[in-house]
Amino acid sequence: MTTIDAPLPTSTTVPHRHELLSTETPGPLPPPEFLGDTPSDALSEMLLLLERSNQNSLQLSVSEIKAARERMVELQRQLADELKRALDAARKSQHKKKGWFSRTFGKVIDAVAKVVGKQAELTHDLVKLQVDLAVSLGKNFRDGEALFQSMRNDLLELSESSETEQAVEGFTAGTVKFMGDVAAFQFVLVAALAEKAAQGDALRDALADQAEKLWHSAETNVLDNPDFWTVTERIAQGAAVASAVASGGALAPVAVGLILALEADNRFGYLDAAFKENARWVRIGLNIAAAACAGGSSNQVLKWTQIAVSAVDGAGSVYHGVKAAQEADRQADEIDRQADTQETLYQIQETQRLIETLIDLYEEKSDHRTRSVESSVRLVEAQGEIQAALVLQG
Amino acid sequence: MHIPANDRVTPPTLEYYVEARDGFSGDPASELAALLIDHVRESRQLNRDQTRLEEEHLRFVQAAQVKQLRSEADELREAGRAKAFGMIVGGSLTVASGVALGGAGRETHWSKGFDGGAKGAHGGGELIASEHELHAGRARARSTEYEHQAGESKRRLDDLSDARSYSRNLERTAFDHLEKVQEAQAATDKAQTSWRG
Repeated sequence: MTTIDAPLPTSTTVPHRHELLSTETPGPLPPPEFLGDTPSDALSEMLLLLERSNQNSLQLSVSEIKAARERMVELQRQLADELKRALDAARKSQHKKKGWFSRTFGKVIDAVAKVVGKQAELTHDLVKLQVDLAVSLGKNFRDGEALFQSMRNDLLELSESSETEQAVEGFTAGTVKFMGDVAAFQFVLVAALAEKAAQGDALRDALADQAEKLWHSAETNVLDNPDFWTVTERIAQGAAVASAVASGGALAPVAVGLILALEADNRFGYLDAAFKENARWVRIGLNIAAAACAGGSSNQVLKWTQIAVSAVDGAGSVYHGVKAAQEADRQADEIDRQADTQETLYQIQETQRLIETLIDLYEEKSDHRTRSVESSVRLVEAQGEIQAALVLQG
Repeated sequence: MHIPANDRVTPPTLEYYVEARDGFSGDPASELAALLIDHVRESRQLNRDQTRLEEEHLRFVQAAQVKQLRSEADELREAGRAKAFGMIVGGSLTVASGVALGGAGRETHWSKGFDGGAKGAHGGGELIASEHELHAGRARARSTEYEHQAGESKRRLDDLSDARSYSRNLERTAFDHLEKVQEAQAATDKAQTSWRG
C-alpha cells in the first residue's frame, strides 16, 4: 500500500471570527495533490483520495476549533475588564472622606448628642405622659384593672427611646460635627494663608484636599442626614405656631387650634375614626388652613426664622435634585454595565457552544476516518488473500 | 454561531455505496441497518438545519434582551434628570420666595408666586420622571420576557444536541452490524475459495 503524505496546511481556511464561517465555508474539498508514488490500481487510488479528503476535513475542523478558542480567550479578557470597571465604580461610590473634626471627636460628639436627644425626648415624653394618663383615666374610669394596665403601659413607654430622641440626636451630632469641621477648615485656611504668603506658592493646592473633606463632611453630617431635615421641619412648624401666636391677629387662636388638632391626630388618629375614608382629605384641609392662618405673621425674629428655614429647605431641595440626577446616572450606568456584561457572557456562551459543536464534528469525522481506514485495510487484505489463493490455484 | 450547511460528515452518496447497500438485500436485519443509516443521515442533516435556525433565534432574543436593558438605562437616566430639574428649579424658587418674603417684610404676590412655582416645578418634574419610569419598567419587563425566550431556546438546543448524539449512536450500531455481516461474508468466501482450491 502506498504511504500517505500529510495534508498541506494551505488548503484550509482559518476563520478569524466564527461568523465568517457562513460565507467562507469550503465546499467540496479540493482534490489532494499526489506526492510521491501514484498508486497503479483504481481501488488504491480511490482509498487514497478518500483518506486525503478525510485528513483535510479534520485539519479544517482543528483550525476552526483553534479560531474559536482564540475568540473565547479574547471574550474572557473583555469580560474581566468589564467586571473590573464595575468593581471600580462600586468602590468609587463608597469612597467618602471625613473631616478632621468628625474623625477626631466623632465619638465624643455622638455621646453629647445622645444626652441632648435624651433630654429633648424626656421633655417631650413627660408632656405626652400627662396627656396619655388623662386619656387613660377618661377611657377606663370604671375599670380599675384596665386603668392600671393602661397607666403601666404609658409609664413603660417613657423609658423607651423614640423617634424624637433619635431625630434630635442625629441633628445635634450632624450639626456639631459639621460646625467643628468648618472651624477646622478655617484654622487650616489661616495657617495655609500664612505659610503660602511666606513661600509665595499657590493657595489652591494646599486647600484642595481640606475643601474636599469639608464638602464630604457637609454631605454626611447635614445634607444626607435625614434627622437634620426632620428637625428643620419641626423648627419650621414651631416657627409657624409661634408666629401665629405672636402676630396677635384674629387668626392666631384659630391657627394654634388647627395645629394642635393636627398634633392630636398624629398622636391618637381620631380623624380616621371620625371621618373614615375621608380622613386624609380632612387632614389636608386642616394643614392648608393652618398654613394659611399662620402665614400672616409680623414678628421680625420669627419672620427671619421662616426665611432661613425656607432658604435651607430650598438649598436642600437643590442639593437633593443634584443627588437625584447623580443617583439616576449611577443606576443607569450600572444597568449599562450589566448589559455589557450580559452581552459578553452571551457571546462567550455562543462561542462555547460553537466549540462543543466543532469538537463533536471533529469526533464524528475522526470516527468516520478510522472506520474508513479500517475498511480500506480489510479490503486490501482480502484482495491480497484472493490474489494469493489464485496464485496457489495457479 | 454558524454551522456550515454543506459541511457533511458523511460523504455524498457514491455508486459503490449503493452497490454495497444492495448487497445486503435478503437479510432483514442488514436491510434494516442499511435503512437506518440512510434515515440517520437525513435526520442528522435536518437536526443541523434546526440547530442553525434555533441558534439564529437565540441570538436574536439575546440581542433584544440586551437592547431592552440599555433602553431601561436610558429611561432611568432621563427620569432622574427630569426629577432633578424639577427639584433644582423648585428649590431655587423656594429660596427666591424666602428672599422675597424677607425683602418685603410680608407676604407679597412675588413670594406667593415663587412658592407656587416651586411646587409646580416639583410636580412637573415628578410627572415627567414618572412617565420615563413607566417606560423603564416596560423595558425591564420586555427584557425579562426575552430572557425567558432565550431560556426556552437554549432548552430546545439541548434537546437537539441530545437527539444528535442519539442518532450518532444508532448509526454506529448499524455500521457495526453491517461490518460483522461483511466480515462473516468474507470469511465464508475465503473458506469456499480454500475448499475449492
